[in-house]
Amino acid sequence: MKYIKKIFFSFLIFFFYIINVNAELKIDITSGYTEPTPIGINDFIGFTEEEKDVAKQITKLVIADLNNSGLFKVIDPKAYIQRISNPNIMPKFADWKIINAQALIIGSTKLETNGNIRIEFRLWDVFAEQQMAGWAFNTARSNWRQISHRIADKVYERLTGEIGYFDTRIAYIAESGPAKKRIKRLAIMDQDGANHRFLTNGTNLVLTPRFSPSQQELTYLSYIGRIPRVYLLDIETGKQEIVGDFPGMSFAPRFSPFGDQVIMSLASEGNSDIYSYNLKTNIRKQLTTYRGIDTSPSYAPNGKKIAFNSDRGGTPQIYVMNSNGKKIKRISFGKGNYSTPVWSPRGDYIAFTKFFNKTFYIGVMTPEGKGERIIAKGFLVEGPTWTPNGRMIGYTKKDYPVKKKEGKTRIFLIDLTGFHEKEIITPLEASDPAWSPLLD
Amino acid sequence: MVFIEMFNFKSITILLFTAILYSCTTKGGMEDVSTGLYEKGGMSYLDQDGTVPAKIFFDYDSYLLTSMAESTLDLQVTWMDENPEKFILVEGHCDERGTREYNLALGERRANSVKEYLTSMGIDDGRLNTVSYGKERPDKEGSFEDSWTLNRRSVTTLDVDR
Amino acid sequence: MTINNLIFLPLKREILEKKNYLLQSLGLHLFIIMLIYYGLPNLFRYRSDFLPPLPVEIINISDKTTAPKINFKKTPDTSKNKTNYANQENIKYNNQSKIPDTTEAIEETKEVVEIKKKKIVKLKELKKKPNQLQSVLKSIEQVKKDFSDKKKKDKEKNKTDEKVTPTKLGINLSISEVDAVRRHFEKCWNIPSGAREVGNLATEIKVRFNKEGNVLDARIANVGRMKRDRYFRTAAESALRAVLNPRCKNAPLPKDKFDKWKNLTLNFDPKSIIGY
Repeated sequence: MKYIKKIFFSFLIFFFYIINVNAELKIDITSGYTEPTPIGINDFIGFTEEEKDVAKQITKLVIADLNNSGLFKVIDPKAYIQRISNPNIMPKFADWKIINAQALIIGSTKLETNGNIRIEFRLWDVFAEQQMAGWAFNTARSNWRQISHRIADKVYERLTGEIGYFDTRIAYIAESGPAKKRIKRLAIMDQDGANHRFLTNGTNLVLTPRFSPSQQELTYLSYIGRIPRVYLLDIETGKQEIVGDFPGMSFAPRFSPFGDQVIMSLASEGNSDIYSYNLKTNIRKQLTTYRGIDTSPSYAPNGKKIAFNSDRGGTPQIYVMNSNGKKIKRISFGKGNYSTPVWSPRGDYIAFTKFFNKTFYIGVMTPEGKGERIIAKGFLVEGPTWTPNGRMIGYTKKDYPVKKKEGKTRIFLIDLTGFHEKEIITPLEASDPAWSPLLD
Repeated sequence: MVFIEMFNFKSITILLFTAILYSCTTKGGMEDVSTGLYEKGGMSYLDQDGTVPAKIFFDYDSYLLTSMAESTLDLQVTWMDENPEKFILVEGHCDERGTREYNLALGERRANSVKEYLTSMGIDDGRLNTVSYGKERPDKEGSFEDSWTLNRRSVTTLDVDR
Repeated sequence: MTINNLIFLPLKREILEKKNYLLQSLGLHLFIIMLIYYGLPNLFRYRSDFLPPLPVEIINISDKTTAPKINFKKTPDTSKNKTNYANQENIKYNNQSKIPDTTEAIEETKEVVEIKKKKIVKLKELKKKPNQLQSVLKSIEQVKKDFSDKKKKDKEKNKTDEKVTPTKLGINLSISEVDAVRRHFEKCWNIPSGAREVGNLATEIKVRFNKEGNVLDARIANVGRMKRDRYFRTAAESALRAVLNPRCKNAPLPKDKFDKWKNLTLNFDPKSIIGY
């Protein structure tokens, strides 16, 4: 027994020794700061005068895109110490470290004989002193805007892990005139405000546009002939057509994720229900039957579920159902009225408008109704729309009245974390923004 | 020659002037071509004499008729009986304190409440059409409670398309 | 039947006879299995959770006690903060100094006496000569001297005190030193906001420092995950940038403990910011 005891105790001592001997000290760092990452973008390099012109335009656009995303701060070129004119050399990292550039983009443009441009660029990690990635694009010269957005996309993706959203467009309603006689026009522009176009002339009231997944069409509500109905518009040709042949008012239209259906609300005799309409077969299907208000439907990105706004519980709240109309479940339970649910393209959140205590809010919650978070608030904020990477939300915002005058109505963009709110500049006042999807 | 021209010019202006004066002092209101309603003293009426108000008002987020609304509608019913050839368009409106699509639906409910009441009082529903404008056509500008109260309304108008 | 008798009965008998040994063997086997199960992971994973800091300031009354002494060392900061207090304490004790002094004296004399006794015993073994008595006296002097020297050394050692969580042996950076390092790197860490919460985005960066607290070498611990997980890659790269940021040179690490921190693991965990 004594022998056993000795063995036992020696093991015990060995045991405690093991758990106390530590190879290396570890320190936890659990906080830091959140600011746009400072980066350097060396002017894209061109050798001929023409190349230099194109390079300058491209650089300008890439800088604007990355700055506007709110996640990057492109350091003013005036502060750069090293000016790189050869795209194939290693940058002098010390010069970039001093100005606190955490990443560096060096690119070049070359005009080819067939009229195309070839753009190559590299992304450098300044502190680690190594190349992170490099790309080359080849395209028609007239596509220089699109290519600039693609460059910004690549940099954004590599540095944040998120999908870029710069090569997209925004459709919205341009507003002008006095409140009693508001003129509303359907408009479309690149997400950075370029290539702005009016699509209708303002004779008839137009509201709530949405993109088709192919980006070729818009669906929206128009009061042509004083009858509010859902229309389709071909963006290129400008051709309009009525969706379905419904008696009464049809409104709140959206495309399904595969572009084959349009869901909308049909209202008659004091009751509005959600219907889906197949664009090929022209067959319509009623999805809700409750006698009340069922509107603002939104498909999940996989097409299997629909979120919508209903007052069947007494006040406007958000419900989720299967896309065949079955298994309706309420998901909003906080204080206040909830409406305009919009499913994120990533599928992980539903954005909504909330009205409580005389204030409007834009918030997100999971499709199960958990984790409600408010990300914007104001006198009147409504109608969220997601960027296609599910990372930012655009919405309508009307300011508080100032000296008896009504506030302006404009579109804003905010990050999912509630930071980086910024206005999207439009020629007139604006509302009902709809962000185009990404083209796969 | 000059005399005749001057005379014409003068008389025309005098005629015009008296016409304007007459229309201003007349008991009847100004007609709004798009709705067929008569404006007088800041209110809208179905009749030229200004005895049948065209608008009724609702409580916030409600489409139920108040008793005052019902008494106004009773006057409208009488007028409609007296003018059986007129087609009616009932508009539903909301204040801006709601989201766009929900308000379109609510406006439709308000218009429908009025239509149901009118038909229950004997008006042929073939004469009645409804349209909702949601919050798009406020009656009073301004982001204040007094404006909003006036914007939560239903307007009985003449259907100019029929 | 006979098979039963041949096999089972003798087996039973064996078991009953050797019961004790069997039990001991079973017990030991179990113990070793437990040891391996709990002990082995500990060899590979370092547990960094510090116990909730209970800064216990030990006031030096060691002369009174005979408890085994743990060597305490005072950091420069704490010594500054506490000097007044310590001085006051000393003053207090100095007023009462006579008592401890006498006990000290008594102890000293006791020990000396014991040593003397030993020596005397030893000396008794030798032949007694008048010279030897002198040598005995000398040796006593010597002993006294040695003893007081030793005491001085102890006192010097005791003058420098250190806060230590006594149960964690092997980590000798104080809590305030760890905090200083944490704050130093926090100001360089630009956390990527709004990343989709895909579980734990904590990144371990293994850093090698030189004596001035500058980074000689830094690398991300979990390189494999970088390739699979885009969000982790973003978080990891931001952590690496924080360490390599030229604004975070000269980390505030105590030079006299260089061995303890020349290889350090910094665990950047953004869960307090991300994750909603």
